[in-house]
Amino acid sequence: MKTYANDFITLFDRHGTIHSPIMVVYANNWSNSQYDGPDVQDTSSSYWIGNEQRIDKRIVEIQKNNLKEKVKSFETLNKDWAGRNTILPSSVAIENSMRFVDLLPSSGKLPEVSVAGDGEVNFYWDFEGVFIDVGLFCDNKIYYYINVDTIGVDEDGAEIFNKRSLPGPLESAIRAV
Amino acid sequence: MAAEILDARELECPDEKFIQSELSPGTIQNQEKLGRFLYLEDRINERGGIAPAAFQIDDLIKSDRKGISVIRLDIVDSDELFEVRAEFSDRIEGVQELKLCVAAIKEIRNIRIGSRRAFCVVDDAYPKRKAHALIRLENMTSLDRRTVRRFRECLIKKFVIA
Repeated sequence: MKTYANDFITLFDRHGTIHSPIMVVYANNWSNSQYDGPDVQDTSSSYWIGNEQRIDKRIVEIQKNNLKEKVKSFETLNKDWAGRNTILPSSVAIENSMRFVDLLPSSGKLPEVSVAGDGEVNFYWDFEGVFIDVGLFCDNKIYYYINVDTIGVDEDGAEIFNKRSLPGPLESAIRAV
Repeated sequence: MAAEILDARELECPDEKFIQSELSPGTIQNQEKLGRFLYLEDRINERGGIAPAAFQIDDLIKSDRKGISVIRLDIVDSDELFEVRAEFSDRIEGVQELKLCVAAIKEIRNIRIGSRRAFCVVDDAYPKRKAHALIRLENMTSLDRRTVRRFRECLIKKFVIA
């Protein structure tokens, strides 16, 4: 409850209005009597814009943390969870995946993540006209395939993951979806 | 010219034309359907799509792997399904429900990338698993972890959650 409360204050700290489903979650866990902040009916447009950006950023942070928790959970899989030839994701694949999440642009949609029995941590975007597949293994490389109709891109790539930035074509595609 | 094309197609997937195991009830026909069980929750996304990780890359490109494991739905029986379920339950704690995704074999065999077929579908029966089959790349030698992703997307898109 304390965590919820802190997050709520961060999201809601100055006169803003939250336009997000996340508010419903917090509101359900929050007693009106506990909120001692400013009037939430303030309609100043400058506050609205500034606050929405701050809120969006905070929501993305929460969603990125969820993705990272999911990646971390792959460390707890049984050694033969996918059968006899299972390869568990290596610590390199896990660490690079966490860093990959950190580097995702806040302006694009976030991916879904899953793990394969050959040690791949796989991130993907899959919806109308968009398919992006990113794989991280134990070899310190980042593999990707981009098929995005709206920007007319259909290409694959692989390079050493430098942990400071995403491969250019991949970052552009993610920003466009 | 037409004869040349016919010849090239005849050379694709020769293993499909003969049974690959004495336990197999027969070669796989185009009108059959294939199933693959998904046993992790995250294999299916919010929109009902299948996660790429459900079809692992090493199974397609590594020579010591035989291919992607699937079930011939037209000939599988309840005993074999029981075996499959038991296998999954042993591997992963707390597996309650297996999800099944299904594809028409003809559609998989019709995937062409460039001028060649992308995948072969062959029988691979073994004791207690007579309906077991494999999806293999038609030519795996030219593909690696980078280039195979395009093929994997085409394959995934042929499967739907049953």
